[in-house]
This record gives sequence, C-alpha cells and structure tokens, in this order.
Amino acid sequence: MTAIDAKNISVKHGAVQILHDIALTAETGRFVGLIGPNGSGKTTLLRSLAGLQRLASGEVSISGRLIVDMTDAARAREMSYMPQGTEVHWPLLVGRLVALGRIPTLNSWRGLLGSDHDAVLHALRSVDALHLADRVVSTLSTGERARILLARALASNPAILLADEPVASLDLNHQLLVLDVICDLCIRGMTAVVVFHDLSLAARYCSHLSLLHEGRVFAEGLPAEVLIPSNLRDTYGVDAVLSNDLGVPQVVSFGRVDQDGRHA
Amino acid sequence: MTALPAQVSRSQIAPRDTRLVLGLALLVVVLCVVSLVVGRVPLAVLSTLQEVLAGERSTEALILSEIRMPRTILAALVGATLGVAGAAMQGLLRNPLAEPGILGVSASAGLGAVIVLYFGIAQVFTFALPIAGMVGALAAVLLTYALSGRDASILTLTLAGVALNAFAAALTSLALNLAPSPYAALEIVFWLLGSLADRSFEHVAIALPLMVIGGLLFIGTGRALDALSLGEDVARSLGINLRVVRARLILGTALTVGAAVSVSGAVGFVGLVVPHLLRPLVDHEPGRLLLPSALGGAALVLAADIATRIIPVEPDLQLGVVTAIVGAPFFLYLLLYLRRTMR
Repeated sequence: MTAIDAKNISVKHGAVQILHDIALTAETGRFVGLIGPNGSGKTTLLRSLAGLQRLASGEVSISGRLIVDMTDAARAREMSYMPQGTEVHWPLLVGRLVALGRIPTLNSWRGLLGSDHDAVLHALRSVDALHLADRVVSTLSTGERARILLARALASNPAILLADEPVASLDLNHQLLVLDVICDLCIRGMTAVVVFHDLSLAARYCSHLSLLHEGRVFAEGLPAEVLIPSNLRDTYGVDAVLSNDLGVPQVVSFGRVDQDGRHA
Repeated sequence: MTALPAQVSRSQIAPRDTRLVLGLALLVVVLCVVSLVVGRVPLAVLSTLQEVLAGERSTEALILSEIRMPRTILAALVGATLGVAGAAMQGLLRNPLAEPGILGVSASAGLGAVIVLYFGIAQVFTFALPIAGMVGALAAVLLTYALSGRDASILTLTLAGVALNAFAAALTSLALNLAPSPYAALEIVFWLLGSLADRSFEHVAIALPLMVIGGLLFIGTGRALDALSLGEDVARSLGINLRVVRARLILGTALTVGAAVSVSGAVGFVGLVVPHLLRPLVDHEPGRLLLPSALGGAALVLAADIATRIIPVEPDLQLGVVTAIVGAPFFLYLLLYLRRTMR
C-alpha cells in the first residue's frame, strides 16, 4: 500500500521556483532518505509532504487521502513532523515536552491519561532518554535535545514520520541509536521520510533514496542505484564512490570536481 | 531501557495546578475584602453589607455600594484581563517581554479613548469609549504581529513597542495640544495616568461585556500556546489551526485590554510582572500560565489600588503611577536577566 504519494509538487518563493514538478512515493514500511546538496529543496519538499508548505501546483496524499481534504487534526494523527534545529522557546520539563506529541490524540477538552503517560515514557525510552524525563530542556546538550524532540515526534505513534536531519547534531553512538529506532519502527509498519546529510548513513539505513538537485529529483531508487559516482559528481560536485568493502555501505569522497569532471 | 525510574511519576506528565489556582483565588478574595474596608472612611464590611442589602441609604451603605464595590470589581477585572492578556501575548509571540504596555497596545487603546474623550463622543453613546479603546488595541496588536510575528526576537519586539508607544504618545500629545481648555487637557492627562478612583457601576457595565467576550476567546487556547513552544511548523503539524488561534488571541487581547484601558486608563506592567512571577510555578508552560495570570493580575491591581488609598500623600497617588513605579524597574531587571540567560 502507498503511504505517501506526492505528484507534480512545485513551490515558489516569489519569483524564485524552489521545487520543480517533484514526484515522490513511499510504500508503507519504507525508510526513504531525502538527499542532495545544500539548497536542493530537501526541507521544502519535506514541509510540502507535511502539508505546511503552500504549493504552486501538485498534490500530496497520505494513505490514499489528499491532505488538503483532511482536517488539521486528522492529518496530525497520521503524520509526525520533526523540523531541523532544536530550538524550544520555554524551559519546559522534558516529560511535558514529549507529551506535546500526544496533542493529536487528545480531543478538545480531555487532558492526558494513563495511556498518554505510557506512550510518553515509551517514546523517551526508545531514544534512550528516560533518565532525562524530569530535566529542564534548556539544561540539556544539543544531542540530548535532538533525541527528546524525536521522542516528541514518536509519542503519537505516527503512521508516517517526516524528519529533517534528525541525526545532524548527534554523536556516533546516538546517530546509530536514533536510526535504529526509526528503522525498527519501519519494520513494524511506520513509513519514514528522513532528510540526510550523511550519505553513508543514508545508504546504510534507507530502503529507498531520492536525490534532489536544484529543486528536481535527479535520481531515485535503491541506495546502490542512486549513489553512483556520476550522480554524486553531477549533484554534489565531488569525486566519490559507494563502497561496501568493510561490510557496511560507506560513501568515500576523494575530492571536489569542477563541471567538466576535473579535480578542483 | 529497563524498569521505569521511580522519579518519573504520573504527575510529571499530567500535572495539576489546583493548589496554585485555589491559593491565588483566596488571595483575590482577601484583597477584595480589604479593598472594600480600606479608604478615607473605614467600613465594617459585614454590617454595612447588611444595610446595603436591607436597602438602607446610610452614608456607609452608599460608600460601600456606590464607591467601594465598583472600584473593587473594576480593580479585579482590569487586573485579571491585563494579567491574562500578558500571558497570552507572551505565549503567542514566545517572548517573555511581550506585554500590552510595552508593546504599545495600552497606549494605542488609550489613544483611541482619548480621541473619543476629546471629541466628546463618549457623552453621545456609552460604549464609544471601550470600543475606541478596543480598536486602538486591535490596531496595535496587529501591527506588532506584522512587525515581529515570525521571529519575535527581543529586539524587534521591544523596538516595535517603542515605535508604537512613541506614535500613540505623539497623537495623544496632539490631542492635548489642541485641547479646548487647560482643564480638559488636565482631565485627559489624569485619565491617562491610570486610576480607579471615582468609578461607578456604569463603568463596570461598560467594560464587563467586552472583557467577558475577550476572556471567552482565551479559553481553550492553552494547548495551542503549549504547542507553539516548539515553533509554528510543529504546532501546525500537531493539528493546531494557527490562524484561528492567532485570531482568537489577538482579538481577545484587543477586547480585554481595550476595555480595561477605557475604564482605568493606562495601568502598565501588570501583564509583564504577573506572568513572569508565576511562570516557574507552572513549569514555564504557556497554557497552564493563563488562569493563574488572570488571578495574579487581579490580586496585583487590587493590592496596588489599595496602596494608592493607604499611602498618605496629597493628592492621592494614581494607580498607573504605582504599577509603573514597581513595574519599570522590574522590566529593567528582566531585560538584564534575559540578556544573561539567553545566549
């Protein structure tokens, strides 16, 4: 079944076109990586999928329903969105911050119940942050905060997770921990679309990659099909290969190249 | 990864503020009683109240029912609306410095009211004053939001407030400049200082409907304010309809502050001081801050109004003067504190 189906997505900021006619589909249970150089439109595409971006054209449907036809609350119950960055505007308690992720499951007047409490603790535990539950968020390190914010996104048990660089500020151990968590959830039926900067991690975890370049889908498919030297050269401008010599996929770069393919 | 640590209790995920709310409500009740008792003529509240209810028209009964009661009710109402409006603006703009006075909302509401006073429209129809105050407040909130809505940094907000306050002050000065008589000018100036002296139930009747409507608009916005802690995108992705929430908060602030200013003049800093003092008691959560801020605001304005009657100076201190003398240094302290804690 198709969890996410986006067609002809175009986005304009004034006269500048950010996305050109992008299509993206994700089958249920897929872990889709969005990759591409800075400014290629990854974040804008993710916001479009989340229904947060005004589209110049195109449509997004989740689980067979157009998101423009869904109420805000119905959309929120299906889909969690985790933006880039870790800013929290008030020094909230970690447990309460993660509990904000339960908002889509609450009706107007009902407060948090025992089941919400369990979901919050479960989400905290899944990112190895249960011990932080009664800390104040402003006292956490950037990496701890990134994990807490992921726990917030997972607290509603979403069918679809949209995450913008969730591992950018994490150490090696917690990068693997967070991606293992997302991967496990995908095995159990969640669909994830995640923006990556680290191509090795993207190759290792994603079942499917979409490589963006200048607001267009440059290549998509299995990681081994997408991360070929010609694609990496034409989009990132680097001479690089996907290697599996050590048993885990690894993108190794040798240097920058100019437009004619010569080493810069 | 294993069993739950004992310190993660249910109450930390779903806390209750019953004690805080009851404590503040009790404080408001006590201050109301004090406010009825204290003044030029000390009153024995219970026996005088019996006289009022029995319909006796003794001097004491008249003082209680015609002077002290409306004054007390207005103090509580004005304080509650300023407190809750401050908390709501701070939650919406995600900035602890957002406050009707500092943002220029009160001054703009004052300007609206001054225009009505100046042209004598207030005598023509009773609701002209609060409606003009509300329109002034609404213009100011909308302008502030347009200036700094997306990324309300401390700097943009404060500068927007400075600009709005200056503009409102300039137009108010113009009204004073062109005032038909020195006496009329003095009347406007004193009104602007902020006071609850010599108010009647007519003032209560003018302000109450708009305050109630404004207050109702705030109800149910707490969850949206909490969600906004994580930014507008996340709030929207959580299913919050930001347009509706924004409209409710802005209109609610304009209605309550406009009504408050039109009956009491400019009573500053209440919306700044009260939410700031109460915020640690609700774990810094903007949604849980709303109700306590209303009660705390009522308590603060009641106390300040009692102070204007107790402090023996001639002529009597004006309410707005008392809140400003306490509030302005507090604002400075808050700025210094925020500079230290926020990078």
